Amino acid sequence: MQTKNSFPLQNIIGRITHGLIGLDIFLKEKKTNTYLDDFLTLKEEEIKAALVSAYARTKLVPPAEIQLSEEQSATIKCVIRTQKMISNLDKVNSEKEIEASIEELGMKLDVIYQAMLSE
Amino acid sequence: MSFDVVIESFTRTEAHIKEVPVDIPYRFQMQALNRAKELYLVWLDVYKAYADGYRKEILPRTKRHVVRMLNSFADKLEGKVREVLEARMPNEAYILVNEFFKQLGQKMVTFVLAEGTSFEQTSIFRLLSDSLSRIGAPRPVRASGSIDIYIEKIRNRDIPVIYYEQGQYDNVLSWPLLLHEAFHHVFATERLDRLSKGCPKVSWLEEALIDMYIVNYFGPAYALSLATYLQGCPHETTFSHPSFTARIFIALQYLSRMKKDNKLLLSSNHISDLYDYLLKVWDEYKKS
Repeated sequence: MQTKNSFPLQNIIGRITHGLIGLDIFLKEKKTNTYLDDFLTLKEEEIKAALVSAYARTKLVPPAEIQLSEEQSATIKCVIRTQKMISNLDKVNSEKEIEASIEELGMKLDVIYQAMLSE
Repeated sequence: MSFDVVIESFTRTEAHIKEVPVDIPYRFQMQALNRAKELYLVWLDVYKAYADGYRKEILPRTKRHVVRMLNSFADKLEGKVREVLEARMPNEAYILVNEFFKQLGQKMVTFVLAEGTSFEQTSIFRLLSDSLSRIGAPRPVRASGSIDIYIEKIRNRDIPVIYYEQGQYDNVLSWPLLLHEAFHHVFATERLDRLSKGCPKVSWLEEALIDMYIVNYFGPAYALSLATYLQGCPHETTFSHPSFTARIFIALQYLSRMKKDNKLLLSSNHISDLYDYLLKVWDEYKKS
């Protein structure tokens, strides 16, 4: 039986996936799109809060504090790095750079899936 | 990689949700569980509409990520449904919470109990919002508005979901804690934050006020239930909650006041025993 509110993590997965979709479409259409906009709304604090389950407004007791793993910290850095690249897409030199970002971000997504499954 | 696998997964999830039996002797409870079921099926319609949109996009590099995401969405939703429809809490707990709402003048509150890791109050719409917040509809279906119609349907027919800790389902002494969570709904709908006028400006005031209200409503039984439960998770003050010891102290103070006002109807020996127990718990943890 599932036991926690894993929807905040699912939401993070959704917005990162929109980032991936957005980059894929950008490579074809050469212009920004609404999927990228969704990805750009994702904030570092939100990812951290979802990973440490800090959603406790109406719980009987507050949740225990959990430290982020190295992998999770690296995932957050990757998201921020990709967002910076998207904000400067006009300065990106080659399609290969965007493809490499898709590859890296897609791999990091596993870390969030793992966190969701471990709940 | 094809979207067919997603459609198959959604079809299975839909069949599973429909198949979970809701056979309860109490009409209000049966209606609540059927309404929850109906809302979860609409929720699945939202995901289906998302899937329809994604499948119209040409995604040579990222289709597998989309398929994975949609499959995990369906799995998670099915898990949430089971937390409600397969909750082991006895029907009598439903009667207790229903009676509590009635006595507070909230006659028409449709709610469900769910089995999770902690006592918590939320709602089906709030969980959906957690899932889809700032994830816009896929471009090809965005203009149709179909997703917004489904989401609005869930918002309009939303119901509170009261979670209990799974190990507590057969512990009757923990049931008063359900009332604390149920009262969060009353606190929000009746805008009881206005009670905070004249109180210290602290971020955890709502939790403290609710503890006081439930002590007032349920008397020493709630204080005993809270103290016994919190001994297993003796927490410090956080943004949302006063410390464990402060909560025991608040309950003690409120019971003292009720005793003074002759509002406690139990025998004085029983009250004294409980009072001693609370003092002991408070004192022990205050020292540590």
